[in-house]
Order: sequence, then C-alpha cells, then structure tokens
Amino acid sequence: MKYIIGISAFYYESSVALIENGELKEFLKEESFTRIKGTSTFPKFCLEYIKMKYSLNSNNIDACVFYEKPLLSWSRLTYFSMLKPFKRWKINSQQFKAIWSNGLMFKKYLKNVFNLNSRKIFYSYHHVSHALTSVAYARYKQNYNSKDKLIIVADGVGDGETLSIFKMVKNNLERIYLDLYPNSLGLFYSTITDFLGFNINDGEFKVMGLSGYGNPIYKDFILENIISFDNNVKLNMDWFDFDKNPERSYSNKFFNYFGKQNLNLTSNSSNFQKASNIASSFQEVLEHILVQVTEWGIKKTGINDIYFSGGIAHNSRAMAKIANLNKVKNFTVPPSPGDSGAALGAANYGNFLINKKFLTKAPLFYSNNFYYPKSNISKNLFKKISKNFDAEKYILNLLVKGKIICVFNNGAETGPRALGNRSIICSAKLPQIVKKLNSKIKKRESFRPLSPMILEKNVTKYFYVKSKFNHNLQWMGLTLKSKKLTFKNYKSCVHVDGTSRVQVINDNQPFYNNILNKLEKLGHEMLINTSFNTAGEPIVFDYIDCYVSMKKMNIKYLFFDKNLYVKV
Amino acid sequence: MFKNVIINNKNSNQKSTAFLDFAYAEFSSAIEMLQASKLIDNEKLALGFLDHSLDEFKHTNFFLNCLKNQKVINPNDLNLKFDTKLAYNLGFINKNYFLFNKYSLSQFCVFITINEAEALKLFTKIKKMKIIKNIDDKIELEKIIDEEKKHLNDINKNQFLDVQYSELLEDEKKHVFLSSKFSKKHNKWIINKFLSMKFLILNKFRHFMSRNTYINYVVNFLISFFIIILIFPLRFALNFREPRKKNISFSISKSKLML
Repeated sequence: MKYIIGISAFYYESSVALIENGELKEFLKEESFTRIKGTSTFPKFCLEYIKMKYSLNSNNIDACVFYEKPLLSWSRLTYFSMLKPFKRWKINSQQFKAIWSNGLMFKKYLKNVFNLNSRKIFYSYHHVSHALTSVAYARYKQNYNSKDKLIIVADGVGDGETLSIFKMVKNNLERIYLDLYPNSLGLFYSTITDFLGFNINDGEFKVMGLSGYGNPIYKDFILENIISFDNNVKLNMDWFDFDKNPERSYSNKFFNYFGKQNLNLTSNSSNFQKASNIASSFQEVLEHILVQVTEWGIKKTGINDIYFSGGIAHNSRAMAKIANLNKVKNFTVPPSPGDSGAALGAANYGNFLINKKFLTKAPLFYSNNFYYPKSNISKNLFKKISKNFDAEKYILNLLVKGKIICVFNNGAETGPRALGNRSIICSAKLPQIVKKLNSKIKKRESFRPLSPMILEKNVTKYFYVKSKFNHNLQWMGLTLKSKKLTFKNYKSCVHVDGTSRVQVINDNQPFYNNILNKLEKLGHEMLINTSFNTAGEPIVFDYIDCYVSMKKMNIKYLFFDKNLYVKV
Repeated sequence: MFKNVIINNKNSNQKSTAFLDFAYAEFSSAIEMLQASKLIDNEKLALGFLDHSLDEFKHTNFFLNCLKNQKVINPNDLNLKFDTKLAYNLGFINKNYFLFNKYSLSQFCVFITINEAEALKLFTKIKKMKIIKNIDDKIELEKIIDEEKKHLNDINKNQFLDVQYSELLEDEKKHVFLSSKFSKKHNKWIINKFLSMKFLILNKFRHFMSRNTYINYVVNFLISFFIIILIFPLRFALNFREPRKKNISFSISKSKLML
C-alpha cells in the first residue's frame, strides 16, 4: 500500500487527509482528539492515530503535502506589515513570533511523528489546496464533465492571497484572478462577526442566521465607503483594524459609526434589530460582490461550470445566490470548503504529483472503524434497550412520540456539518420539540435555524430545487427557498427569510432512507438533523464524547452501532 | 491551573476578567480529565476521571453564566469572549501534550491536588467576598423600563447561583481529597512534597506570564521594536507579489519549495 498525506495546520481547524491508492481513507480533525473546537496546533494526534491504524512509515508514505507555502505566506504578511512598521507593530510582533511556531517549522513538527525523507515533503499553494478540495467532489453532480471548470476560492487569507479564480481545463490549472491581503472578503465578513460579539471563524454562521431578521439598510453606505469591486476587491482600511491589531478587527471609525454591540446577543437584546440590520447589510454586500466576481469569471473564460471553495463557501445563503444565477449552468461547493478541508486538497495535490490524476469523488463519510478509548467503560455509561432487529421499530416509535435521539453511526462526516452519522435527530413536524432542541438542549442562539433532512423524492414537494446544484444538498451545501406547503406543515425548519439548509437523503444513506420512508407513512416527512455536540464543542468522536455531550444536554437515547441505548 | 486574582466588588471589569479566567481554568481542567479518562486502561479510574471532567464542565458553565450576568458591553476596553482555543494561548493547556501523556499517573494526581487546592482556596475567598451576589453592575445602563424586571430576575439568579456555588465547592473538596489520597498512597512523602512545590511554582509562573497583559505588552513592544529596526532596511526582500496570470505548475521540484 502507498499513502499520501495532506496536512492543514496553524490557522484554524488543523486536519489530516489520507489517500491510499488514489482513494480517500481518512479525514481527521485535530479538534476531535483535543476536544477544543477549532484547534489549530500541528495535528499530532491525528497523525499518530493514522500512523498506528495504517502502520505508516517512511517507506509506505509517498508524499506528505502541507496545504500552503509557509515562507510565501509569512513573507507577504510581514512585507505588508513592514510598510508601516510601527503602526502595525503588534502584527509584526505576531509575525516574528510565528517563525518558531507556524508552517515554517512544518518539517520539525512532522519529524516528531514520521522520520520522512525531505524529498517526500511537498508544499501546495493555499488557494490551490482549496481549489482541489472542490475538485474532489466533482463527480457527485449529474452529467460530470471533466473538461472545463471555473474554480473560485475566497477566504480570509492564505499565502497572502484572499480571492482567486482558476480556470481548469482537463488537468491544467490556470489562475486568472488574484486579490492579495488586506483586500479580503473573508476578513470583511469576519470583522462584522467580531463587531457583533461573536468569535471569528466560528461566529460567521451566527451572522448569516442573524441577517435573516434584518433589513439591509446600510448596504449602499457600505458599498460606497467600506468595500468596492472594480475588477478587484478593495477595502477602505480606515474602517478596519485587523492589519494593525490581532485582537480587534474593526477600527474606531467603524465602532463610532455602527455603535456599541452586546457581547451576548439574544433575540431579547435591546439592540437585536439594529444588529440584525447590520448583519443583513454585510451579508447582502458579500453576496453582491460574490455575484460580481462570479460573473466576471464567467465573462472572462466563457466557462459556466462553477466550483466554489474557501472559508466563504461555508456561507450557504451566498452560495445559493450564486448557484441560482442564470449564467451558472452547474454549481458545486464541497462539504468542507474551509481550511480543514484544505488538507484534502493538499492530499489531492500530492495524488496528482505522484499518480498524475486527481481524486474526483471523495466519500462523504470516512473511516470504517470506531475509535475506542483504552478502557472499556461503555457498559457503565450506556444500557442497551434494543437488539439489531428491533432498533428501527424503537426509533420510529420514539421519533413520532416527540423524543430526541442521538445517532453515532460508523463513519464520520468529512465536513463540518453533521450528515446523520454524528447527529441529533427529532421529527420536524413537532415545533415545540424542535424549539426545545435548538434553544434548551443545544443552547444555540434562537436566531439560528435547524436543518431538515428529507427524502430525495419529496424535496421538490417542499422546496424550490434546480438540477444544476441539487447534488450539493447531500451535504447541506446551500439553502433552498421553501414552498407554501413547508410553511404550513414544517414551519419549524424554515428560517425567518423563508429558506432552509436542506439535507437530501438517497440510497447512499440506507439507515435514514429506511427511517424516512417509514416515517412518511406515519405522516412525518422530515427529520431535524443537528450536529451531535453542545454549542462551542467539537462534534463527538468516540462513545465517551457521546456520553459527555448527552449528559450536558440531558438527552436519553443513543443509536450506536446498530443498537439503541439509554444513558445510564 | 489557577492563579491569584485581584478581585473587587466595585470593579466589574476586574470581576469579569476573573470570571473568564476561572472559566478557562475549569474548562482546561475538564479537558485534561477527559483525556485522562480516555487514555487510562483502568476502568475505575477512567470513570472517576470522567466524573471529574463532567464536574469541571459544569463549573465552566457556572462561571460563564456569572460572566454573562456582568453585562460588560464595551468591546473597546475588554475582550471578554470565551473562546476555547484561547485556553492554549493563555497557557491553560499545553499546545504540545496533555498532562496525562506527559506525567506518570502519580505525578498527574499530585498536579490535580495542587490545582484543585488552589481552586478551592480561591473560590472560598470569593465566597467570603460575596462577589457572586452582585451579578449585574451594568444593569443601570439598560433602559429604565426593564429595570424592575431585571432586578427581579437577578434576585432569582442570585439564589440559584448560590446553591450552584455551594455544590461547586463540595465538588472541589471531593477532587482534592481523592487525588491527594491517591498520590500519598503511590508516592513517597518527600517526592510528594517536591512535586507539589514544583507544580505550584510552575503554575504561578505560567499564569503570571500568560495573563499579565502589561508585561506581555512591554516585552512584545521592545522585541518588536528592535527587530523592526533590524529588518526595516531589508523589507523589500520580502516582497513576493506575483503576476496576476499564472499557470499552476505541478512539478515535483517546485512543490518542494516553501515559497
């Protein structure tokens, strides 16, 4: 066996992807082991795990690819900071310290796990890694055409780059557009995340949810004064501080104009409507510019098969806007478009270097085995209440009765969204239960909606879907507009702006396919599916995590390894 | 994992920082115990560590609730967001290893004893100061219409918090007792004393350096100042702005470069 490893680290959600003979075998996040959400340290635990599981050594590893060019990344940011060295001294200080603890020391960190020969260590470009992550899911769409792709990558910053457009013809990748730091759409959006009191890299989802409640009253002002697109994205840095202060993204000017915000925003906060209006305005501006960028790329190349990757591609509302453009004929956003997914892109880069072909159909679920802690304490934590043959009957009964069930199936999801194997589910037909799950059990902000799970055959009955993007619905890649019937029967899963982030179930997920088919006969056509974790913690990785999460959330039932259990 | 804090009923910023620090300390303790419960092969100890971890998660939430009730809303002055990743940057959790990976079981237990005792001492001190009761200093800044409602809520919250706080102290006492008993059983007296002193001093130093923003600021500024002076004349060597049109080369030799 020959292996290729892709590694993403030192910025957000360190991760590792493993390709064995051209197939993706593992995709692990360091946070799964450390239990600290967004862990960005070198993914030592992930590497040690795959080293042990696959007996990896310097002979059977063909390539180990880091997801960016660390020296390029460091130089570009340091050069920019050194243009005004004293004004940006805090960033300079951070850059100097980073020499000893970031990608520049990649080989040293790697050596602590594998004693790999230097000729097997490679570096991809940050945006190329993101682009190749999206290519890894190309074959999910109908009528796959391997010839021409237009790949748009937009994120905060990586290798000093913030927005790239690539033209991919067969295996030839050509960059036709590049924006450099500090002109970043990602940092523009994270600034408003920071300003509204949410944590950067984690709170962007909250801003997107909040935007549905507001009116974009500041949109024109923002486009006139703060950001513009004229063949390049341009930020007016008077409004931002991220280039000077690592602890705060917005400037005093920004603060004085938009005013004070709550640190703990809830729908009862006095300034909720104002915060929603600000969020809505920034969201609209983001969508406006992304549409312009996409149209620019299509006009320039004549290619309308669009792939979107990078941290911004997590914004499912913006992705829906692009996917619905008339000029776009096909649209794909990968399940894990952010930095953690870039490990897969890096591995794909290595796959091309070694095998001269790209991985184009990565699985949505990886790993065939559960990870087990050293001691077997499961019997002290859970009690089995069903046998293999009757678990399904129990589950149907519980769901109809309005019970909430945790699911821990074999094979974790490759992206940040729970697609059923690390999920908490309940019937979408029971609004009180859905509300309880969202606010009381998961303790999410009330302005963040929960996502429904529906059979492929029923999706057009409730939502407006187009075939050019429907493959993305397997991994909740974008939001859909709801039909009137959804408001009538399943209002609990419709966001205030009339959209839902739907997951479509087909034969690839036999457990849910079966359950939903049977539930349909009982009058429940949709399930609510939310990730198996409490707010602010990583998705569960082993049964001890399941127990801890269930204890925190006070949930009783667990479906695990084909059986139903109750928490002791 | 705990440090001494100057805490004052009248200074809400100081109180908030203290609550945030406590939340980080409890959270990091929860993570360390959770790792221990996964890494140990003894069933009984694994369950004990897991219980301890659950307690610490509960305590984290308690302090985060206290923090929320402070309602400090001036992000210009103070960053009071709880971000678990900062547990690394603030020195609560080591980036390179978990304690259970690094220390032997008996050393690990001494470490817990020291930290739990520190926590107990600190929490008892805070209880005496009745700092938890004065939850919401910033409430006057809210609209007058909401005042009555909020005061009513705060009274209820205070009572609830007080009960929770007593439970928390009981938990800490239990943790000190169990870990101390274990380490005394498995270590010689002199080794126990030595390890206790070592962890106590290291903890104090670690937290002094990681949370003392003023010292960090001065040290960072001085270092940066000298490096900037040195690098400034050479800054153009760092300019790698690339041409806009470019074919991405998948050549082996170019892929080996960090640039």
